[in-house]
Amino acid sequence: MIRELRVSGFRILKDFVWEPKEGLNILVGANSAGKSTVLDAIELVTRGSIRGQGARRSLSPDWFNKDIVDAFFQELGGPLEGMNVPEIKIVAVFSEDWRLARITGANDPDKKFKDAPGIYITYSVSPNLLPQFLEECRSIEEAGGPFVLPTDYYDCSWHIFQGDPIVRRPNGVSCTRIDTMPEPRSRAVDAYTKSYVGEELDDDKKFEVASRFRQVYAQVDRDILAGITVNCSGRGDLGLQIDRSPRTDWTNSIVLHRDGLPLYALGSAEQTLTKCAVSLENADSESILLLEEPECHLSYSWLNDLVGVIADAASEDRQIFVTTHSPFVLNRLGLDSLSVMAEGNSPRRISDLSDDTVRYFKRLSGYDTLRIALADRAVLVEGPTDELVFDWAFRKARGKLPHEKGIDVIECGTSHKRLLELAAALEKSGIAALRDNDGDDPDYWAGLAESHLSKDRAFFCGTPEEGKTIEPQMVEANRDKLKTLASIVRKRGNSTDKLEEFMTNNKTEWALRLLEADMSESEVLDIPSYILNAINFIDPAPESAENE
Amino acid sequence: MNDAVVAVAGWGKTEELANAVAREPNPERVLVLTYTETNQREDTLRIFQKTAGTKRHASVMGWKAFQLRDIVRPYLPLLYPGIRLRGLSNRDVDLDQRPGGAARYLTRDGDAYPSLLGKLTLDAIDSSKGAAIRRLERLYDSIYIDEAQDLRGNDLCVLERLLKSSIDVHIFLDPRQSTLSTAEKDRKYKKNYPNAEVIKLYREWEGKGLLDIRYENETHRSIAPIAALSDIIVGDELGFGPTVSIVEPRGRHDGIYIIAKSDLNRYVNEYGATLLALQKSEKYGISDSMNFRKSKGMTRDDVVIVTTGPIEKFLTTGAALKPVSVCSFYVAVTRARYSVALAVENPERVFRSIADTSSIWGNLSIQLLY
Repeated sequence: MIRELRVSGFRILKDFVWEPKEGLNILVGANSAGKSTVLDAIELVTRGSIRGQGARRSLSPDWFNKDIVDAFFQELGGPLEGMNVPEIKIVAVFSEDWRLARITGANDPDKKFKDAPGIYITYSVSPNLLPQFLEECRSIEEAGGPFVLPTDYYDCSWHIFQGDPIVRRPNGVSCTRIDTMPEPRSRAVDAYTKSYVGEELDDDKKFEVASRFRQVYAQVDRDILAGITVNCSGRGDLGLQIDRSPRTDWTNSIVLHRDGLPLYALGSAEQTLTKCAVSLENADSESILLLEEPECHLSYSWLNDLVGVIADAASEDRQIFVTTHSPFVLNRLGLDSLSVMAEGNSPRRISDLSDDTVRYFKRLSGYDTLRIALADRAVLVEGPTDELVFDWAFRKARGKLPHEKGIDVIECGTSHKRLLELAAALEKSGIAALRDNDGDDPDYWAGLAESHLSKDRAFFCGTPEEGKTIEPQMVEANRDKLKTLASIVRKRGNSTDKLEEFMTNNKTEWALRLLEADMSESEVLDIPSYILNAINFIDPAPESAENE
Repeated sequence: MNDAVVAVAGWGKTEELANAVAREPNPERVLVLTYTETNQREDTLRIFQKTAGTKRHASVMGWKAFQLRDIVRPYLPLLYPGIRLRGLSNRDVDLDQRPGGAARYLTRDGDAYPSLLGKLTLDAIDSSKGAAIRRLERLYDSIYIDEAQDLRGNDLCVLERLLKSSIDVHIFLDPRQSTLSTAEKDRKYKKNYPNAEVIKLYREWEGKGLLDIRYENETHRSIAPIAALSDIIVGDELGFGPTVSIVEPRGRHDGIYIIAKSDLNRYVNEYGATLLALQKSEKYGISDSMNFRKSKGMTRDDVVIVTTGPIEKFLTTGAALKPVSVCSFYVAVTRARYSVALAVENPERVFRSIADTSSIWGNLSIQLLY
């Protein structure tokens, strides 16, 4: 298994180091955080190819990190020494394994490991071509761009830590990428079909099939094609015949089908699942499996099946890398496999999540755990009322809604503790949890989650004297403006009579009215103190605002 | 368990090695090492004959390629960081220049000097703090070494490290045939264990419990008189014991002959013998001769040896040959199945000396031709 992956200069991965875990690794991050680039890097370094095309020929200018390329073109005018010619380097270090002894050694290009199995691939300008390369880049620079590197000067080299260059993937290292994109032909499935045919048919059968194909070819040639001449403008006429080259060998014409429908004509869901199953069937048990956003093109129930297949396949020997945007996939596969990445930075791996919490989210897979993983700052509230009131309060205090300042307000029922544990395991800062006191002392609730709290993660509760839930808290905070409160939250009239009872009975409704009411009116009201404290915690007011 | 088979020429080392390799349960975890390319080819073919049809094969490699690929290359960064190893240099180190550091072992282009590769390998093992040996242990269950008498200098220290590893090392050697050296310019062990005396080092290892030595003195190639001649050439100071021939004479032109160098051409034509010489054959008017040392490993019915001055002196007076000449002469003589002719300047004198039963030649029967 890959113990450490180092990538530099490759797309958004400028200087990337990651220690994935054994078995399953779930990589989450915002769009363009570099998740697929991580999978690409793993595929390149372990297979020497990407999506079926050789590493050498696949290189394209956009593979180079843009910052590095721009900086390089800027420096071009300066002295030659110390010039940083953009390079790509991907290093995979494996954990100690006698099966990988052949690729073991001290030739770690970064000199970090003294005795480990590993592979690395680099793209760099060969020294003898450097002058021409720089010349070419200067002319690009003088022409004013676009600043695209001339990749034809680049050499691709693939080495093992033993020191030898390699051209083929070493024994004991294998990697399969499962594409969930629907595609006309999948190489993995084709290869599987071919080998299956090879095993199922004995030699006599194979000869017979080949012979019948030849008969048909000959018949078509004789009866139909022979009558056609192709005019070749004065160079003598040409005829037509069926291609007999290996390209059209009959074994290439055999595909899998279900009820007469070839696999590529089936729905994408079935395609994906079949491809996944076939790849798992074929892949060595010590292989690496790459899976990109399995939730795409799959409905809920198919996804459920696929996730089951993946979870079963992960083992000590088989390392699986999954990228996802789906909290469902994340929760079902187990939060303890989570690594979070942002903008090409080395991912943060989750640590110390209790088995109990992992099980909890596996079962209740609807929770938006992904939001807390990805949020810069998050506020955990119980339900819709609390969310709406917090939005209102935040807008009153800061002039903007929370999400406009990058704060995610997440409803979590009463699972604050679980989510705080997740946040703590991810070392998230800027988490405020708000909850009703339900008649207990705020310290009681904070105490329950205490081990997950820190100066950056805090619990906020109203005091019991000010009411058990958010409604009495709101009423208590606006004791002297009850008429205004009533006029806003009630559909009709502004009776303060049984206001608290009304609000409690019309929970979401009153909060929605509060948020949607004319700001000049609603902002006269006061914010319950625990909510205000939470706002000041999550988004400390600038000093000038404080003084006003 | 490690062992060394010390076998006379003609015992069938290659055959025995091929049989042993073919019996290995996990051939892909077996490595066969030998110094010369000729032997690598021979071993590969012989093993392939025994294992034809199987999918998994042992790998046969040159001793130096093994050192480069499996020890030096993987761990050189720990010894000489930043130096890129390319391959093996065709020219050897010039020790008169007193090169130091990496320059002692590697050319400027990163090619290793052949003579000091053993020392470089040993240094790489040491700087890896055992990792290099651990890596080998993971790769191989057994390592076979053919013609191990060629291993010299620090290559013997590398061999000792292998003996101390958990890998089973099986060594085949004939110290009497010590005509080549993997480490020409390496002074290690040169004085104490020259040529055939390398057996003393193996015996020390046996004393330390590093290996068991087995002596195989039966020749399947040469008839008794030839075996007897070869024993006299080697002498018995090193205690190899007498060679036993199990080959029946063919009944015509068997045994040992003395001829004049001037009769070489006539003899070769008459008996179809293969000419073995130290000098170029044109000198004797024969187009096809072979160097003594290069003849190692081959078999011929009839052989004619053009003796050198020191050899003729040895034949006439019993004056000791240089250790290296002993080995070359031994190799040349033991190529023959049925007849060995010694071409000398003064046939009568040589004949008289050997016929004298009180000399070192004992009852060796020889004939003077022409």
